[in-house]
Amino acid sequence: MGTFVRFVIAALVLSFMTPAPAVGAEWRDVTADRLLNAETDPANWLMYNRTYSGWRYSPLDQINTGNVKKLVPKWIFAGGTLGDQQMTPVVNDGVMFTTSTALGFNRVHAVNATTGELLWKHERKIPEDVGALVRVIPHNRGVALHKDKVIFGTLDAYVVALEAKTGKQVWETKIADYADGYFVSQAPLVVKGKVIVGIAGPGEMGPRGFVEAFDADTGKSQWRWYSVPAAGEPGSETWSADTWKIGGGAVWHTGTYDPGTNLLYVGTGNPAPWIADMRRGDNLYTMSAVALDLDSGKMKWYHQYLPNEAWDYDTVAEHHVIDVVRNGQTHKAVVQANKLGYVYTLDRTTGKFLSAAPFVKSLTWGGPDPATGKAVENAGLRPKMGGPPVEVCPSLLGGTGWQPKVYNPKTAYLYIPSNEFCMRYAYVADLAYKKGQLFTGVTVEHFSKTEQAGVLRAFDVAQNKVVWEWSNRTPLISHTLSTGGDLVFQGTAEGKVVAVGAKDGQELWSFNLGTPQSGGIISYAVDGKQYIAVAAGGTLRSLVWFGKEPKWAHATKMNFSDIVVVFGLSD
Amino acid sequence: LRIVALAVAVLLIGAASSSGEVRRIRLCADPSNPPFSSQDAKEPGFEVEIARAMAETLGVEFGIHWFPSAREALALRQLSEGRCDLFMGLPLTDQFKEDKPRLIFSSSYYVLRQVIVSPSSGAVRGPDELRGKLVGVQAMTLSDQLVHERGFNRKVYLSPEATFAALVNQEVEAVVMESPFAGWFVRKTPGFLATEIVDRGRDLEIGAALRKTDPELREAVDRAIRQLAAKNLPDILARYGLAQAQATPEAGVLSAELRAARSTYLTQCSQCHGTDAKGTGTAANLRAFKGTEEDFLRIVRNGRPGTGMTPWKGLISDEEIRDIGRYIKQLPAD
Repeated sequence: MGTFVRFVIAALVLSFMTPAPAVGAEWRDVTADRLLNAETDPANWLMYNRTYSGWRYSPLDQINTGNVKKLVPKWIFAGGTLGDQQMTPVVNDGVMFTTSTALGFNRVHAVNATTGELLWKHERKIPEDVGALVRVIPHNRGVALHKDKVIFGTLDAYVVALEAKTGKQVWETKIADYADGYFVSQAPLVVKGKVIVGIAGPGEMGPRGFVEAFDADTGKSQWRWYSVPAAGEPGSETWSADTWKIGGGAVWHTGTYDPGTNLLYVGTGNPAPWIADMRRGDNLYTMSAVALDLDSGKMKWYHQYLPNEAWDYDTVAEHHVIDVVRNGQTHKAVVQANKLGYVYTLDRTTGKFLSAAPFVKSLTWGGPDPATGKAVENAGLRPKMGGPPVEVCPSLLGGTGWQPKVYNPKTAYLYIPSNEFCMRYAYVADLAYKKGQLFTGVTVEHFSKTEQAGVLRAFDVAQNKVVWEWSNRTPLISHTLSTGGDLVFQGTAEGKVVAVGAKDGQELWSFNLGTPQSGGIISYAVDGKQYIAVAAGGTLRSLVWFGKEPKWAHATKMNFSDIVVVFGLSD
Repeated sequence: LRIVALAVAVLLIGAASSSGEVRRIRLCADPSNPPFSSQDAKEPGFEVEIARAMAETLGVEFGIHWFPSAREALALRQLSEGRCDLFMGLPLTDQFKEDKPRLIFSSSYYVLRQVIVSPSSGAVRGPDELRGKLVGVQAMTLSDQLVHERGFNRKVYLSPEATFAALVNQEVEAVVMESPFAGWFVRKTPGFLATEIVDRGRDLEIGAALRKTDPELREAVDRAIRQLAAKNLPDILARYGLAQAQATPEAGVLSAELRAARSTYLTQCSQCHGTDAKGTGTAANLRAFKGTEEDFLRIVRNGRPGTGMTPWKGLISDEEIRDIGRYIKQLPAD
C-alpha cells in the first residue's frame, strides 16, 4: 500500500517537472511581427479575432463549398464545466490554447491541435466573494499569445502570463479590486509588446470602465484610459453630480488595431445604472467608438452612438478595420454592427461619421440621423421608475449581441449573427448603489414577434445593405466564421453548427453538437490539413433570456457541457 | 365591496370582427359623462382618448357608439349584443367579472383610488387629518365606505357634482372621492388640492370588457395597453388629473425596508425568478416556497449547487435577505 502511494506521488511530481513533450521543441515564438502579419499566416489563428483588423476570416480553402459535406468530427476536448463557454481557441503551429471557466476557477489548456491530446492544464482558484455579475455569468473569452507566453484575464480581475510550453505562471498583475465588481471577460490583445485589457463589470456593477496596457514581458502597467472621465476632466460635464463615480461603461470586447494609424479601436458599453434618469446628461464616453493612441493611451477621437443610454444597448462590438469602397471612393474606415441594430461606418483616422444602415426589422428605439449619426429616439420608450414595462425592440441582447461579426474580404460581406426580438422592460423604484450587487435596476422579458428570431445576415459593406439571410428559431447568441473556401459557419442555441455558402447563404452542411454552440469557431491547418474548431457548451444565462418565450423553450431543455469539437475532411 | 354602486363611468367601446384579425374598435361611450367620455370634441374624456390611442397603436379603425351609461345593465347589453365591442371603465374584481358570463376583460389601464379634496389653504394632507372635520362623500361609494369605517364625521350626497358643490359652498371641510372625479374637479376648480389616500386594499384595477367571443380583440387591447403604458397612457390620465393613480399599486404602502427589498429583489433576483416571484424556465417559484425564513436565508446565502442558483453570501446582508422573503410573502395572491 505504502509503496503504491509513493509511486503515485512520484508520478505526480514527474508530471509537474517534465515539460510536456508536444509543446517542446517545435514552439515558435509569437513575435510582434508575426502578430502584425497574422493575415499572411493562414495555418494559424494567433489571436482572438485572428487579425488586428477583427475580421475572423480564415483564408484557408482546402475545405470549401465543393467538399464541405465530407466534414467529420476528428476529436473532442471536454473542458469540464457546466457551460458558460464563450471562449475562442487560438492556435500556434499545431498547439491549441483553450479556456474553461466557472465560479471558483479560471482554467487554461494546451491541446495538441491534431489529436486533441491534453498537453498541460493550468487552473487558477478564484475567491468566493466575487461580485454579483461574476456569480451570475462566470465566463472567459480566451487567451492572447506573446512570444513564449500565454496571457489571460481572470474573474478576480488579474492579468496572468503563463509559459506556453508548460503552463507555469510567469507573472501576474492585479488590474483592479474585484470587490468593486471588476473582472476580465475578454481575451487580451497583444500589440507591439503591450497587453491590452478592457475591463468587464462596470455597466452592471457601477465602477468606472477602462482599458489598460501592460508590458507583455513583465506585466507592468503602462497606461490606463477611463471610459468615464473624473470630475474636472473633459466630458465630465456630461454627468450630473457625482454619478460618474458609479457610471459604468465597460469595455467588454477585445479591441481592434490599425498599424497605419497606430490607433486601437474599442467600443464602450452602457452607463450604470441602467435607469437613465439616475445619471442625467450624455454620459461620455459610454456608448461610443473610441480611438486610442497605442503608445500613450491618449484618446484621438470618439463617436458617441447613443447619449444617456436607457436600454442596455452597449456598443461594445468590435470595430472592423476595413477599406470600404463606395461609389468608386475608398474610405479608410472602421465598421461596427452593434446592439442598436445598425451597421455604422466611421472614418478611422478622424472618427467622422460616414453612414449607418439597419440590419434588423425589429427596431423601435429610433435610429441615427443619416447626416450626423446622432441618435434620434422615438418618444415614449424610456420606462419610468416604478412604472409599467415598456415594449421596445431590439431586446437588450441586441440586434446583434456580443458574438463577433465576421468580414470576408473575398465577398466584401460582413456576416452578422442578428436577432429579431423585443423586450418588455421596466425600471424598478428605489434603486440604491450597493457595492458587489447588480446596479442595473430593471426587469426584463424577451420575446419575438416572428417565428425565426435568429437571422444570420450577409451585409454588403459597399452597398450598405443586407444581401442574404439564413434563419433559425432561437436568437443567435452563438458564433460565426468565414473562410477562403467560400463558406460561413454558424452555431445555434439548439446545438447545431451549420455551413452555408458565403455568397448565397445556401445551407450545405450541419452537425449536431449535443449542447448549445456558444464559443468561437475558428479554422487552422497542421501538416497541410485544414481543421474547423467549434467551442460549445452554451451560456447558462440563456435559460433566463429564453425563459418567457414559448417559441424558444426547446433550447432551454438542453444540457450545457463545455466542449471543443474539431472537424476535418473524412480521409 | 359595493362595486355595482360605484359611480364608475360606463363607457362602451365598439369593436372587432367576430373572428380572427382585429380590424376596428367601436367604442360604446356615454355622450355626457366627463371626465370619462363626452361628445365635446375638445375634451372627449380620458376613456375615449385611451380607446382612440389603442386603435391608433393597433392601426385599426376607430368609431363610437353613443349610449347613456346611467343604467349599467342596459349599457352592457350594447356590448353583448354587438352594437359595440369594447366597454371601458369597469372594475376588474372577481365578483364583478364572475357576474358577467358573456364578457371577458382586458388588463388594467389605471388604478382607481380614493382621494381627499380640500381647499388649498389649510389643505388636508392625509386621512388622519380628516379627524374632527366634516367630510362630504357620495353615497354608496368606496369613499363613503372608507370614511364610514374610519369613523370620520360624514355627510352624504347623491352625486359627485352635489358633493363637490357642498365643498365649494363650505358645507363640508373636505370631501373623499374616487380619483377620476377628484382629479377632474381639481383641474377645473382653482383653489383646491387633491391628496391620494394610499390604502392598497382599496385599490381598484380598472379595465375594459369585451365579448367572450372576441378573444383576439382582448389580446390586441392588452397589447395596446402595454405599448401605451410608458407614455401615452400616463399623459392622457395626467391631462384629466389622474396622474397619481398610475403609481405602482403597492408603492405607498410598503415600509422603507420592504421598498428596499423590492428594489433588490427586482434587480438581483427577478431576471430568473420573475417579477411576480413565480419562477421562469428553470428557476424556482418562490411563492410556493414551503420552508422557514431560516431555510430561505440559508439557500439564498449558499445557493443550490448544480443549479443556476448562485450563492449570494457577502453580497446581500442577512437582514436584507429576510426582507426579500417578507416582500415575496406579501405579494398579492392574485
